[in-house]
Amino acid sequence: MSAASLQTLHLFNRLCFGGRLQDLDNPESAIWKEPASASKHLFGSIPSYKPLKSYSEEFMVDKSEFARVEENRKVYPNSFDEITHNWLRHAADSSNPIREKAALFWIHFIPVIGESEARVKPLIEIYRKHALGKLEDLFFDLFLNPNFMSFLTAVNSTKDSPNQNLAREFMELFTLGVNHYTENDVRELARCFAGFVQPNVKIQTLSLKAENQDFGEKTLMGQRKAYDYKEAIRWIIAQPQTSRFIAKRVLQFYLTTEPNTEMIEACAAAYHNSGHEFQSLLEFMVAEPWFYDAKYMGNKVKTPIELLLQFQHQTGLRTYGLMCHWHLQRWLGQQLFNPPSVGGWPDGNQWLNGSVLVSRLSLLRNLLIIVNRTHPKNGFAYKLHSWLSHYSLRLFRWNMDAKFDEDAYLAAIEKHKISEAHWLLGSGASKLSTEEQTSLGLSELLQHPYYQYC
Amino acid sequence: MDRRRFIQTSLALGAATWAAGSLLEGCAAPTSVEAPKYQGKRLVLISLDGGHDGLHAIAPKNNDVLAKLRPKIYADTLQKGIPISLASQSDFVLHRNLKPWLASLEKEEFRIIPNVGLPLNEWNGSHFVSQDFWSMAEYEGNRNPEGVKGTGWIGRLLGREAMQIKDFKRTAIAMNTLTPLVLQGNAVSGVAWPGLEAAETMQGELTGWLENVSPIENNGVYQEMADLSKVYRWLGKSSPAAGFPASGLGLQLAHAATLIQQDMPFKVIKCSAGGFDTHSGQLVAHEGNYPQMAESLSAFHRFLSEAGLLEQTLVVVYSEFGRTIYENSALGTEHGTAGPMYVIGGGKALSQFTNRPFVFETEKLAGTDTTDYLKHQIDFRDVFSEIQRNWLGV
Repeated sequence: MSAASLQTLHLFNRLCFGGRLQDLDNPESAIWKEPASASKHLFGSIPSYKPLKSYSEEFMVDKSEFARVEENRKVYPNSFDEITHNWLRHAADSSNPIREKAALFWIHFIPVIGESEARVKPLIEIYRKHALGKLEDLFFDLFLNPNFMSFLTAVNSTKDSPNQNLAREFMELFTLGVNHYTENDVRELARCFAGFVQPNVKIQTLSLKAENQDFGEKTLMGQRKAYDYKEAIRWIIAQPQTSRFIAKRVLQFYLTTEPNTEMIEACAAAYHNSGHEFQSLLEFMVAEPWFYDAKYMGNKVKTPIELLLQFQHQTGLRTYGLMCHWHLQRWLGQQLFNPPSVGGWPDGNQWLNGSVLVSRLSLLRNLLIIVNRTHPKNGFAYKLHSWLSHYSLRLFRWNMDAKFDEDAYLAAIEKHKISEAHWLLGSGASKLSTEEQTSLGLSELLQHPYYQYC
Repeated sequence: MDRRRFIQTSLALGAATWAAGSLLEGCAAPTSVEAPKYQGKRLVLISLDGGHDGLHAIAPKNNDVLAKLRPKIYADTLQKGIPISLASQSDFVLHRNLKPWLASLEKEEFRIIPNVGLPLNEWNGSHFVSQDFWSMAEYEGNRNPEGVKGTGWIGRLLGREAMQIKDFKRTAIAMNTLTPLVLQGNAVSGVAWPGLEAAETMQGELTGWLENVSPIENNGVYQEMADLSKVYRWLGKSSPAAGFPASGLGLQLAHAATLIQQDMPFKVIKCSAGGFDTHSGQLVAHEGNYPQMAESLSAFHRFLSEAGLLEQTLVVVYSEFGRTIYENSALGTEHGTAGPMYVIGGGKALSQFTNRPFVFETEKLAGTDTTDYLKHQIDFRDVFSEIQRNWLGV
């Protein structure tokens, strides 16, 4: 593969979830020749925002499956697994997943523990809708979302005794970063954020109760004013430090865990000048020469969700079944809307140890074992087949299947004369011996240590 | 299509390896090294994540400041609160849900280090920064020698010869699916182990993988898999210790008890419990997690006592910070400063800290006049430093 094609692949790996077979076969496949035209093509074809559709019908293939769905609902009435399933299926199928990758960034950056289906459904749409848009719009919607607000104990906070949790995390985690605000700012911002109530549990939007609000003057980041919550959000977003902090996190998510100061400052300026519009920041970032620096290519540890989606994009394989994504997320150590803490998930090398690593290395190979099963469910052959696959798949054999058009996959690879190793591992393939580059097959490549990086 | 046939073959092989692995356990083992036996001193670290409100657990009697600033939570501590009869702590009351601790507390096999934290000018109200502080524990004699950010104080010790057991270096283990910062070192890190069931079933995967992938030199992923294969094989043969509650911490401690019983080569065992970040509804939250914490720890104390291991096992329980003295409108507390450390066993170790009288003093954060914080008496790094030198002998 030429250097420019590898750079294009790098762009697809980072901006989306790897290249898709359809991208290879696209009449515009000239996009593979160099990253600038690929970037232009990608940003020019972002589908407009639409709420997620349901993929439920896929796993309700027969009556027994349907019965299990109902059974499951009785056991977990508050489960929101179907929502995350719909999102992951959508991201796997999406013709241009820039928006979904950006939504994943926000889910990482502003992690929330989901409470119920009714509450997570609007929440995931907030991340998706504003993923590429303006920062203040994202916050304005989040502040009216009962799941986000109750997670940060900001519902029913009053002016007499304002709760500091949201104010602190807003500055520490979502805008300024640690050491860029004082304990006094925390207290003053908490006053601005008092007054939210949920008037009706059936309505998933909060409102403000005037008697709980604090209309007095507050001193925030050195400026004294009678801020309301929107003004306070705008004032903090306007601090140059917010752009710097977010630019750093964006670079860490999309490019490298250790971005240098010049990169951060350049991205921060672009973000600030765009009025904090996320798409502008992304477009700026991928146009910079350092984005294609060899030391960053094939060198970022995939998060579990990236691993799962990239594998599906690159091979065309799809996982099906009620709860399949719940199990896959759980086993890979990253459940959407169930972060280990308000700080979110670990990054980089921290994913590559312990039992999570064992799962990461073996799960994809084992998914290949259960593809395209035609055995009748509940039959012996189906059970035996499940038992022979991954130990974790055995435990929920009734709920997981995968479809894989191997011919289409191999045909696309052969037609475009792309080495399979390069297609799957990108720049990582160059670390393999020449013999390995040609001899290793899909299963070996997916469980190779280098597939852990993108 | 040759490549296609190759994929099919390798899949069949993978499945066959797995079947062989599970049916004839251990037959295809690439490494069959026995675990070096270890019966010496051990350290069990337990973090209460989220910021444990020590003043809810143990509080001075008849205190006007508490009655004024946290009326409802203070009343809850006093309600059926258990008076402590130890000389140094006689003016203090233990929360009723922590009653399982009382007997061992009075025998001084369960001890409390009061008001542990950081000087206020070094303190940070962020969970993550504060948890990192406690994990890295950096200062003077205890500083990360290479100056590399992000290694834990135990992780840094793992490179030293004094921590090795025979030629095994990774002598710290976390009851978790990922290795926490406190056990991460520059060259050597502790291992993460999610528990008995998983260790047993994962052996097949590990074996299958190691047989399928050619060794790669100086590759962290390959090395980790080789090490885990060895460690999970040792641990998979155990059975869980009985008598522990089925809570998260209870299960972790049951697993810890098992590997101590089996003389497994781990000098440091790390456990954790969550649910202490009580910004609202603290009384309800602690109605649930206080009994869990109390029963889990007293089950572990009972295990150590019955096995005659109290003298050579030091259990240290800590949290990244305490909570504010005042309660908020949601009947919760905000991020505060100092809090207690709980110590089980270890003979007389750390007695210079556990024998300190309890005091209740407050101080103000620089630049503010609205809030009083609990004043720290003991720097946690002094405690860790003492453990490093005189318990672990490094």
